[in-house]
Amino acid sequence: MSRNYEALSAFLDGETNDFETRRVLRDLDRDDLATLGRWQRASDALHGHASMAVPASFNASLSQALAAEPKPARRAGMMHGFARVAVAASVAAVTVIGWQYWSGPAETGAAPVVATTDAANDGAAGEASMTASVAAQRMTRPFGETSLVAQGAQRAAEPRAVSNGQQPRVNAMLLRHSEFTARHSGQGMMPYARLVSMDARNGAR
Amino acid sequence: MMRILALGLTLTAAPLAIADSLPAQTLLERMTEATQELDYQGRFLYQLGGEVSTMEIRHAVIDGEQYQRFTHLDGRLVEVLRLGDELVCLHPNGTLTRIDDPDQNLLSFRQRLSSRIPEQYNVLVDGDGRVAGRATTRMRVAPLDNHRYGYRLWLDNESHLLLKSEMVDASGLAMERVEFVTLDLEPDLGESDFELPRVIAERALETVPASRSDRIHLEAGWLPRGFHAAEGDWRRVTAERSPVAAQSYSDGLATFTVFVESVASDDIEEGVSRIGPTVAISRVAAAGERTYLLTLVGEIPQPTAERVMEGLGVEVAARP
Repeated sequence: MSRNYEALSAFLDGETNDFETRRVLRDLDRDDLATLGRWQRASDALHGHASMAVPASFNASLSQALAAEPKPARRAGMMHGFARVAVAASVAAVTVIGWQYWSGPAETGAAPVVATTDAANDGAAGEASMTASVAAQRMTRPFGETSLVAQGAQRAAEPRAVSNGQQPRVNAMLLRHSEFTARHSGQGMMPYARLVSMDARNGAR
Repeated sequence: MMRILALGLTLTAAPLAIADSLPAQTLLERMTEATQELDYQGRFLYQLGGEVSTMEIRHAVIDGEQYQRFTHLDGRLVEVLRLGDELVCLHPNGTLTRIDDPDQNLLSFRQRLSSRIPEQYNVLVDGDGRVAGRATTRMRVAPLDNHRYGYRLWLDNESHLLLKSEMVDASGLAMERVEFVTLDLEPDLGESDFELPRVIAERALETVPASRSDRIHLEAGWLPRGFHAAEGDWRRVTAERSPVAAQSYSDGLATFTVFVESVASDDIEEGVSRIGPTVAISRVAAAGERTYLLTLVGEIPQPTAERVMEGLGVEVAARP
């Protein structure tokens, strides 16, 4: 794919409009993230900053990107009710990782921190350990759109299109899982509230 | 021993303060008791990512049976009702799904909790707070590895009901939140408050007899420490659909369920989806001449769920 460095640069400077932001977020891949990271470090060095703030409009742009995310016709998800949010979650994950590139390695100007797996995680290898460390590095932030974090940024929510006939099947699974969870977990009323919320989302589709 | 010493010191130092502060485990037991045994009605916010819903809950014990009703107040009307042994979900399209489980043991969690808090978690009383205008005690349930999520709990000081609850990831980020805004502890609820409305269609998730020869057995090659297979069943939505096997796993707080169904090879959908703390993963497995679709649904981190999925095997055997 030919890279649109101009768009990437504008995005980094917070100069993209909502449509462009959405497009950049959608098209970001590993190389783009690396490019963003390099630019950021160069910028930090140039300005002598410890780090650069995330553009002020960043979260607002993200919200709008999430709201405007294409409907499942193009990227239908296997779990339907999950699908839209799952797609949104993949956007959020890219955001968080991008944000880490901005703020993470700033102190030393070193390369973005590479994954180290927690010793307690007995040996999930490869990409799993990468995602685990992404999770570990994630910063606390207000509860908002970016809370919907997909840990497997590069591979989350790319399921194939399926027919609408699957909905009852998915509902049945959520119902059975919730029923079990309510009885066997210490989550209080959370499982039923979750079920109600997911069913309402499914109904809105 | 250290704990006793520490307690002794605290007692000497601040006898008044210790009088109304209970150990974490006792608080959790009281919470579970209160949730199941008290009559209450209230409204709460349910927050998942950037979306907030308002819901109403009614809970009553009538003739020894638990009645509970959750109503989605904004947007589409969805209700979930527990009527004794039965769970009913009213969908926004005017249909209804029932699932009954006569073998349920509502005390199971409480009994387990009163014997011990799962050792994969660290539970501590964290301070005070106010929720829905009521004084609460704040608790923190922190996982000791990264195969499960943590919780922040706000318990009502008077009734011990859970008034606010958050499920948090490894960085302390809340992925899901329930928070009461009103609570009535003397709601005067009767059976009429739990009546089902008229629906256009009704389905039941009925149990399939265990004697069928093509019964599916699920083998877990790897489970996160502390997780145990809790219960399995085999159900189908309607008679013409093929049955779906379900096997649930729990560590005492977190749960996930694996569903197994026979599929035609051209009707396959593999993938990963997440919403808040819930992850759903599907993958295909072959056993004998048939193709099966495995779907894991649960509130565990995605890498953990993926690893569980990798280790799952399906066995179709006619067991006597």
